[in-house]
Amino acid sequence: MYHYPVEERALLQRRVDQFRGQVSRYLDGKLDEDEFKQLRLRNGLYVQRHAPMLRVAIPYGVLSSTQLRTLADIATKWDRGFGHMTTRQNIQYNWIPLEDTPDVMQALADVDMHAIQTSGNCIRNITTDPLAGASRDELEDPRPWCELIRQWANFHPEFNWLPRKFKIAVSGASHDRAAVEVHDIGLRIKHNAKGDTVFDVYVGGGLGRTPHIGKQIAHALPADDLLSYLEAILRVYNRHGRRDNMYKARIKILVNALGLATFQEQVDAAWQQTRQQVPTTDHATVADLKAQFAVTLPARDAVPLDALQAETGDAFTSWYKQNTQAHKSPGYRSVFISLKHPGQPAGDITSAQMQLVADLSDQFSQGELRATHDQNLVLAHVAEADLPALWTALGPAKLAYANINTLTDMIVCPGLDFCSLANASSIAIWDQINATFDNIDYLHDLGRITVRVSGCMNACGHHHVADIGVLGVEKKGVEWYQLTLGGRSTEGARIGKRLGPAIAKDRVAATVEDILAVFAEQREPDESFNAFVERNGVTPFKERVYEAAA
Amino acid sequence: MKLLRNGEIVDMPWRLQGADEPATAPIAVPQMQLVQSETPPPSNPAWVALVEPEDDPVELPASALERDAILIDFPSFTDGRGYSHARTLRHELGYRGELVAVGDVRRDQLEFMRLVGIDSYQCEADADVDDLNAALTELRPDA
Ligand code: SF4
Repeated sequence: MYHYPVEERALLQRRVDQFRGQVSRYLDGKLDEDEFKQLRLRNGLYVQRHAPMLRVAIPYGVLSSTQLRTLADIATKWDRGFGHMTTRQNIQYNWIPLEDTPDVMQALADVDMHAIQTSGNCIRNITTDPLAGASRDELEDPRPWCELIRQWANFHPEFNWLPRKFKIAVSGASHDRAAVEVHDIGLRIKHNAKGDTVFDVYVGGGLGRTPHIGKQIAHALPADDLLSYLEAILRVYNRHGRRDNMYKARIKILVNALGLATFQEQVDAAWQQTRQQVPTTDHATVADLKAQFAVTLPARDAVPLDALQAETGDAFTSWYKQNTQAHKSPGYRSVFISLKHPGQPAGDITSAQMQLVADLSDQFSQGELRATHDQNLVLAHVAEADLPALWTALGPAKLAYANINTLTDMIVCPGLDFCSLANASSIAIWDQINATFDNIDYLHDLGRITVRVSGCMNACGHHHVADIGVLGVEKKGVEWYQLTLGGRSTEGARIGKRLGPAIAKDRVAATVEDILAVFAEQREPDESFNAFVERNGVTPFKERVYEAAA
Repeated sequence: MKLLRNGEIVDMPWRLQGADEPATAPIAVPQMQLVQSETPPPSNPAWVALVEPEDDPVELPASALERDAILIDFPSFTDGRGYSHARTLRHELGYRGELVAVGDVRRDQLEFMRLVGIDSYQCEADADVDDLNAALTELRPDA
């Protein structure tokens, strides 16, 4: 597994010392509120409805068991015994007192972790495929490239005060599990005819108030030029992105206002300059990173499901089918751990669960694990023969719920319960849908359906790219919910279509039931919900939903 | 008005608009004025260019690049355009003179300003000079 080199460790330590100084100057009244706010944001520290919120970076979603134990200890010692996984593959704590944050940063730095640029108008955590290095459809492991970009982006002196936040995602597989088309910059790894690594570059994607699908700005960019090209895009954005209105400040607005061709010309002009200044990719470094990220798995015999089933039973079978995926090495599978158990807030994980998962990753998955974009965890390299033992250990901790990629594997933003910007509760919808759809077999029959909930237009729940998106809106002090259908964030990303007028709070789950009934009645055999909406639009659903209400 | 320059706090050597520097100090002329007027300002009194966020330093008149210093304005510490201007001046225009950050320049911004090629920084008269110097190399002392 990759560990930071000594220079990166020294840099992290200097960052902790710097932050300690900033907090103490603030507490001594030597730093004003506005300035401290900007400085703490760049260390992941928000002030939320109830208390400060600390967002810790999990670069490209990869964690060691040691790191996860530290996250568990932090939750126990300084928080209330749990953390919350985010859609940027990070983890958030909600109750850490400001005075203690320098000590938390130190505890993190001791295991190569930090909160650098997890908020603020700067380049945020680089995200990628949670199955990196394990999936069968992978062309190349994206993590070495993510780490290269992370080192370039962290403390980038030119881009620490951008017009708005900036998100980059990288995918290295034929199936895009990193949602690259809905990022400020999305990179898709390809190999050219000579077999060299090149990048397709997308720009200007993003959700929020005005969702946009990214546009392809470069085809087959040579790996040598990766950082100088990113630097050129960022420079154009830093200089010309709007700073007068925070809702129009993302790069997507600039790209749309200029048009892709003009934006591209400006980037090319800036690139002439950045190419002189930014060194080309150091292939020795990349080769070294590749070697460190690669795992050597001991040879294990392939064990078919039938054989495993004999020692377990039906519940195991449905978990195997729903929560595990084929691995590129025979004899292994990747295991998803659902953090969407009913009765526990979506994406939350307790200290005890973290400790258990850390132990299980040591025992069964090379001491390494992943945080996913949809707020679950992955043990990427589990031998098939070990699956029953792993499943048996996860079950009592409520970590073997077989709902991955089903309706209840929802993304739910903090909403009214925690977020000061919210219009409506998100967690109430999560509870309502769980109460209504409690038959796991029915969920399996429906197949892959994503439901995502945002408590306001800022769209932190990514509802635009869900099969069923739920957006909280407020009308005269009452919570209502706007539904969209047929969005997706994988290759060929699409923004969901609006179903119609907003739905009353107590009718959201019932409306989802109506929608699913239409789908069940009219779908072609094996047709996915997403394909169904693409074929039929929202009309068949509209008729049922609003006729029922009328 | 003061300036952190070569590790020391000195008087601001240029006259910024509306500032109280002596009338004999060279005047800082906004880039927009330099570009709009047909003839550059006469050399007496001496002048330097002041690049503002909306400007493109590539459009500076050649005479501005011949002066010993160019000032970069940071009207608010959260406006990061000046960092890109500094890089453009250094790398695209090859400017070797003194780059000076003026405006809302704060202690915790100094290091990144240094890293993009800025040499001197506006500061408060009562600033702690040792602390400012330390701030310049908090994260990347070797860069
Ligand atoms: S979508 Fe709105 S309510 Fe939900 S977390 Fe984001 S800002 Fe808060």
